[in-house]
Amino acid sequence: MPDSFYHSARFTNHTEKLFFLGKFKNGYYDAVIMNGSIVAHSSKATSTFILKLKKHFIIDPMTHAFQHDIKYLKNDSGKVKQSLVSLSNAYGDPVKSLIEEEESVDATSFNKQNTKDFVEKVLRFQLELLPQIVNTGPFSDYINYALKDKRNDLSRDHIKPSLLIAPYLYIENVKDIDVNENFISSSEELIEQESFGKELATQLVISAEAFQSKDMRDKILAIYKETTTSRVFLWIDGFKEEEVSVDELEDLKSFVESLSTNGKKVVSLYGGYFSLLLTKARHGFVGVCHGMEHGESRSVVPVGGGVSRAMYYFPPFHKRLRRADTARIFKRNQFDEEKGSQDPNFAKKVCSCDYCKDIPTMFEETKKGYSTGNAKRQTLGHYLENKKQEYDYVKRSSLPKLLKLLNDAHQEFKETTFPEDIAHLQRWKNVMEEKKNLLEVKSKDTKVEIKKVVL
Amino acid sequence: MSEQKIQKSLFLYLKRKYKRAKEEVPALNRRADIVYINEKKELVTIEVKLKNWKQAIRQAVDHQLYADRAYICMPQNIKTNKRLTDELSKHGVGLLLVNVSNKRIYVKTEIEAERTKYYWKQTRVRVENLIYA
Repeated sequence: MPDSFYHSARFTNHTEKLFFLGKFKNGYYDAVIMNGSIVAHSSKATSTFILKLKKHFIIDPMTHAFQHDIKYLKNDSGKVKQSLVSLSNAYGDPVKSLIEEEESVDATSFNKQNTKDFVEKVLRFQLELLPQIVNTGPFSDYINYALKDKRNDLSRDHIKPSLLIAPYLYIENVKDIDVNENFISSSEELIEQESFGKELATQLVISAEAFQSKDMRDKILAIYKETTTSRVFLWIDGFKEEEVSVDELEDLKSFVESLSTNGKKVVSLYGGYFSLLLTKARHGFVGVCHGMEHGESRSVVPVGGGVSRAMYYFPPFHKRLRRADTARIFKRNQFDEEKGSQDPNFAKKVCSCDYCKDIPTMFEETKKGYSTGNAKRQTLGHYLENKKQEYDYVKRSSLPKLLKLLNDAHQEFKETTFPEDIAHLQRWKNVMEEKKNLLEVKSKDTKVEIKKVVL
Repeated sequence: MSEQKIQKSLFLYLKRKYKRAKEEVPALNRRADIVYINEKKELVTIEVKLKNWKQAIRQAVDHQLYADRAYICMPQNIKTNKRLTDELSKHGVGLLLVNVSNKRIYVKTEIEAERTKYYWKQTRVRVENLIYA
């Protein structure tokens, strides 16, 4: 039985609703992870979205956000982003006062006295804010009215998150780990005392430098392996699976294996195809989350925001390519960009989705060379179709078969692309093949059938 | 001399010579330093670099998706070596060497660029419209 977070998607702003509802709602992802800032800042719109979504979700409390240099929390006008102000207000002190003074939080901001209060506010924010909006107050009248009309297709069933996440600091040093340990124990006590009736999970957000240190990884594992929480959401700052070295991939793999050996379920918060391959390891990820097109890796700063570009997700490489690289591969392989997936050769070797019937739209540019809105929507639709196929195919395929396909893609395209653009395929294969105690989850190999998706 | 000064001098020279020339032309997530139409009505791009020829070649290869010929341009005193010439030859990218002194520019075509075999049509049309506008 696949984990309920096997294929998760990150919701970060309301313009993404188009892709969470509509044709992508059913069968494309299992769970939604919402940014705490959007819940705090636009709780009415978010509650309506949740009522329509009718899927289980969780709220990332984003408590790490307040640790970073204040410049990363500001918008173009030089003020702290309103969404983060709203979040800090929900959490109270010490975060609220420090943000008002435009100072950052750190491990020394927390002590025995304020930890308990802070933990309670963070957990209650996740558990109670959206149900309160929906069930009480003036907005609930509108919701009740809307619920009566079946054409609105709303439901209260999933208005609470399926689990709660303990507050966490971004781990750069040992003090951060100690504070997180206190947050977790305090959260466990509170959930039991108050009978919240929700599972507690932890979130591990680690700096790249800390993760590179074996000492730090061992210290983190020593603490987190022993917590009683059954689930860990993992995010390594700026970790790009297609760019990092074999050693770094090995470190990730062994870290996840160690973390999950006591039965803990580990979910990759920003992961791509390598993370998906790790779900086939005996002690690997149980699920992988990604954002809308640009969320298979993420830096902790800037907090929120970021401009997505219309990059083409190239299925054989399992990564997004710049438009120039995509165009070059298409041309060198004599794929007809006017036909796209209507060209049988293209459909077989690259993609058969309906979005790829219109390749030129994906390459539309403004006069200044930026992608048009149409281009972004088209490339995102194509990305989501391929993500669904990847998750489904990985679930039902054996690891050796998946690794062979990486090798096949490398062979197919090595003459028509730069070596550095496909070297990651071999790195992934080498890392996943290496461990002697690697046992794959039993699955049947099924015949590959690329389905045409009906709009 | 800085990269920007070389680029500017070269651009002004090409503009005087060929009329249809533009700087910083955006296309396919990149900006070509200089794009111009030569006497054979070919669309030509130039990437100016002081040292980093690998990056310049990579950029020039991108420009080949809409240009007839793509060059990199480097200072005359650069030491060309086999690695550089092999890489240029592999991708069909040309090499211009320039010397700017006493407000004069001397441009030498050290390696002729190959004529590109295919375009990305919509980008080619867009860049042509920009140049001819």
